[in-house]
Amino acid sequence: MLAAGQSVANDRHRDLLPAEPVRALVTIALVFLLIGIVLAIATNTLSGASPLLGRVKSRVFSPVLVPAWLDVGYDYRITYGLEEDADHEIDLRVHGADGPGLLLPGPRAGERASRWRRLARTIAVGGIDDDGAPVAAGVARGGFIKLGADDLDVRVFRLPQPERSAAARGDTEQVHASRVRQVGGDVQLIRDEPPGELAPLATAAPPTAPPVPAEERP
Amino acid sequence: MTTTDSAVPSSTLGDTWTRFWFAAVPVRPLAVVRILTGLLGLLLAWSYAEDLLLWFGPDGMLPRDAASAWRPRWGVTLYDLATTPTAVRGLFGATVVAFACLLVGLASRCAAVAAAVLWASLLHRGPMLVGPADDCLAALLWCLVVGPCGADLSVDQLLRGRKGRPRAATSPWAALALGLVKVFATAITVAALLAQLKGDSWWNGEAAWWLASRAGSLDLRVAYDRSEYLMNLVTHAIVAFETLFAAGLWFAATRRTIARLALLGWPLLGMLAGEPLWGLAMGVFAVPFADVV
Repeated sequence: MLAAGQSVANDRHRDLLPAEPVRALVTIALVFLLIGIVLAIATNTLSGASPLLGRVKSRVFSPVLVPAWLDVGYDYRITYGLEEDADHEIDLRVHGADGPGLLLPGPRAGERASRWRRLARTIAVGGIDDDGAPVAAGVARGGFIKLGADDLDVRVFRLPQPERSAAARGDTEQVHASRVRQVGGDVQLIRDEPPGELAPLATAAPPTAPPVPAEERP
Repeated sequence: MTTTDSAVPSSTLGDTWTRFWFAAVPVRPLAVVRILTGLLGLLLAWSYAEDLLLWFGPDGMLPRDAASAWRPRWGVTLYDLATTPTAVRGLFGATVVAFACLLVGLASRCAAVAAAVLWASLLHRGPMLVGPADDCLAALLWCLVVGPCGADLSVDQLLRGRKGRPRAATSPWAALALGLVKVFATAITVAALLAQLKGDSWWNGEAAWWLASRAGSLDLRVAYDRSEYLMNLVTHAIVAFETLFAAGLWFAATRRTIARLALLGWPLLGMLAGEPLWGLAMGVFAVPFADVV
């Protein structure tokens, strides 16, 4: 009796469902999408991605997911309290001039300011190939017109994170500096490397004996 | 009635699948998602509007070649075709119009398709500017594309009523759309949770402090200075909330309670994290399961 009633209910509600072939097609699309979402999350993590999953995703799923902006890892750690999680700012100045430059995000607020901070962080931390230089050059190209000059200094500052255990606040730290100039239509980026990161000078001379005091010299 | 409240009895895995994705459900929750998504889209578009040409103009700070170097293979954008300020403004204006149409429910299905394509295009034009709320909005828009998002609370419905066409209160395609909303809500939350739990600060209870030190966040550092336990509590509460949300949406007994909690929890978390629009976007994912409409 119960089975018969259930069967009637099944039949009635099956009439309200999309047709079987439509359901089959949609099911295939759904399975494709669900696997794609899982692969997108698995291959867009801070921990890296396995070559196998990366290859499967790029060969099969990326042509659909990437254009739709669904190849996203959603790995919003928000913060780990690390230096790179601090807010970043861009400072554009005419090279060699003391006048006021262009500070970004400057007075902007909300999501608008957040977008500039993300851009600044990209220059500092890098993106593809861990190199933010192409982005810095692009920002400077936009700055040429804004500041009316063909030779700019691009600097990115990492704002201090307040220490929790001590009252001391760190200083603003410069995490990127480069000079970008336009010469004959070509944009040149000259990276300003911190002195500490330069390789030591190599000396071919062998170790020498201690210098002889002047009074002992003949 | 929620997305999974259906009279189709389930006895096998196939029946459960069919019931979840295809059994007709009320269209109103999807209409509310459409309205809120349109509103969110306008808010996020507003954050692009003022600096649009400074970023994407012909002499903007994000030249096309620099942006395309950032894009993955298959990443395409209509903005590559926009070589003049007018064209850039035109494309962006079309995006805003699509969001406005979603908000009022005018040509809703077409507006959803247009908004999804144009929004993805905008994000591909400047991937280094994209934040969590932008990702969530893209997912929400594709969910609207597959469902009858203009079947209720819309200009479309008014126009249909004037022509004497009957109003469809339920639809199997609404189940499909709301099922996707639930899948994306869970996937985004689980991915965020996994990313957070890789960091020490989410285990030792200090994450709340670092959140409070971010620009634009709710600054509770004075309170945290007074009580370390409060800071720990907020940190652990965020993790617990995300865990409950991801799991609780899938059980009939907890779905409504968790979703209602999420209507407050996600916006609050967004404010704590300095990402208020992300909090709102995640709140939109919870709306259809809270049974408030």
